Amino acid sequence: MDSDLAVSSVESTSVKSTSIENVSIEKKHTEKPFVKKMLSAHSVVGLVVGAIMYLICLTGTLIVAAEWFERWEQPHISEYQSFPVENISTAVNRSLEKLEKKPESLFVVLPNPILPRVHVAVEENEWYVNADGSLSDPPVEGWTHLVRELHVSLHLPETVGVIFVGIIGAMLISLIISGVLAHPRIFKDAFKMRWGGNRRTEQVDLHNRLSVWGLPFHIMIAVTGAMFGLMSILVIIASNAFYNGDAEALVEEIYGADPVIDAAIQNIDFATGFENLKTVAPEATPIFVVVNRVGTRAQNYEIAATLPGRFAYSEMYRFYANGEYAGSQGLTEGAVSRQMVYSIYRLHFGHFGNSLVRLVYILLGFMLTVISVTGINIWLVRRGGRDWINDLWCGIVWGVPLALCVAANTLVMLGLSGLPVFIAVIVLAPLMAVYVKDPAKSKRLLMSGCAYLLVILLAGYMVRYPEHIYSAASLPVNFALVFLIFVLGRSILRLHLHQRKYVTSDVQP
Amino acid sequence: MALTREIILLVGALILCCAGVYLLRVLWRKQNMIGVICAWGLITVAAIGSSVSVGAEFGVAYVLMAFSVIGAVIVFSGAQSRPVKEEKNRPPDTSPFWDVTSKPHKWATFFIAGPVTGIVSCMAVAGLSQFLPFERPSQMVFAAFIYPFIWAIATVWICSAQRLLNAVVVLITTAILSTLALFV
Repeated sequence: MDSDLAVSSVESTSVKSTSIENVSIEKKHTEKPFVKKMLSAHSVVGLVVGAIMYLICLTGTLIVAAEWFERWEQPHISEYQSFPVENISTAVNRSLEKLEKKPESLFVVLPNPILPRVHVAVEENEWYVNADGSLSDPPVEGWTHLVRELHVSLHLPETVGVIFVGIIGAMLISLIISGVLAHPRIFKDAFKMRWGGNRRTEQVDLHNRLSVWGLPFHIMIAVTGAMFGLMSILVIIASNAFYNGDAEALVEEIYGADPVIDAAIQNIDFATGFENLKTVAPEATPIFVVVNRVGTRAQNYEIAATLPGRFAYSEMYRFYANGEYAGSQGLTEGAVSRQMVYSIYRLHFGHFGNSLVRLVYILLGFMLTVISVTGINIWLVRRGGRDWINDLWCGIVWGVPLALCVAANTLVMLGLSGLPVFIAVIVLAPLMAVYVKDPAKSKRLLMSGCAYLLVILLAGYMVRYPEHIYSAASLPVNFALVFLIFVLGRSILRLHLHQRKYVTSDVQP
Repeated sequence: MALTREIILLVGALILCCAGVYLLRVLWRKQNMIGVICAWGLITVAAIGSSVSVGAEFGVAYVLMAFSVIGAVIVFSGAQSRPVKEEKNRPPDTSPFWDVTSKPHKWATFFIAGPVTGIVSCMAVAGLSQFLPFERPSQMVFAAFIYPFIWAIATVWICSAQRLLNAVVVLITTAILSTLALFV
């Protein structure tokens, strides 16, 4: 958030219109040192994390629609809204037949309205399941996986990456705090939006208005995101201080321990368990089943189920192998702390309610992405002129979508690994922009590249999956692609037809 | 029947939220405190109605999302459009936060506001949380919730400080006290 205030304090001699404004200027002068300090802190943190913040916000926005992308990437997988309980046994048995040794745990993920598919996950293996319980293709580690890993860990080694992204979450909180404190008028100016005119004013208005109206969402995203990543640092310190270095003991105390069962080995009876669940929790909607220690005296299974109106990812209802109810993990009715920790996933990724919630999350996530871009734009406009930093920033802003488009073509159309090309494009695009030394031209080139690649992607998809173009699995993403192509095409056309008159300011993305 | 009632209640709550935000827009820059209170009252009633309909967790989230989206829509639909102003071409201004400090100072700020503050604030929240009147797991969850805030506030403070020495002294003191609280 750059400051109208800072703009006014620097240019205060030109602001002499009404008495109200004069009063506000006086106020601003008295608050100047503190506001200036906050603005400085806001700028420093924003400049340090700006590019990474942009990447994380953009990928986070996309990953809200992960299930739609997963369906689109493998449209031939059979889809259905209900899965008979007896077929769970079939799917479990078919999976076990494929494994050399009995696994510790086996997951059967049940269909839901947004992802109406069943899949089995066991150790490193995963398979989609046909309606009759037989196994289908394994899920591909495709574009959705690439984007998800980018958002969660930036493709760094897992723990390091998650902590790094968590740190960015903490920095987002610091940007929110310093941004609000640096702008005493931010709430008073909540409806002021000026397009055109001075480039700096336009960017400041866009940045501040999106920031103030999205504030509850931004705080929630930052806190939940930071909690995901930073929890592991806290666990390391707290386990050493209070649990003699036994991190598992701490985690078990927070989330609840696994059930301890000793009973005669028998075939697992899912039907009785599901019947008992209807009695125990009639409002619960099962989302997945976990079979633990199959074929041992400790074997049992858990049915994870959501409860209406609750953010908790699920309650875990535990059953003996014969289907007798063995209690719940207390994730929705136990300690408040446990409920809180178990609620942050749905809240962060918008996995609650219906598809409309996902669309709103995408919109709000896009707003945060625009804020991270306009923040750096404001700094560039304030410093004036143009040098390699302007070029580099333009290359980053438009290079990331281009890299995602190239990776999508590579993964979906060619079935090759997307990460190397993603990294190559994300490095080459800023270098190209620095070489071209004309951000407006670089922007046009990179935008055009995105648009062409999206057209190729859509055309290629139509050729590869002609029977699935209008299927429920493909239609949402195909529609989004057409929309994006239209928006990009329109923007490129406007850039060509109406070259802005700025000498310096149209150089920002 | 109950479902229909819930949907009507939820839609009604979202309409109230719309009305509240729209009223805020209408009253913007007008000295009408009662109107502003009414607008916020409508938004509060919307949150309550939505909570009654779908539970407090979803209800409040829905109203906050609606609040953000409606606010943004109203702002952008009422945006003033002005002709683009030509700007002077001037060389890049390298002040005040780009070249005002030396390179070692910049690196020191980065190192202290980043990793050092991160570790110290983690130890501080872990150390302080044990004095809270909760069970140990709840103390840790509370610490996990508060930790990013403490780190964020400390980062803002250090980045806005003109002298890093004071920050270093405070951080070292906090680290020593936290270590004592945790391990002694």
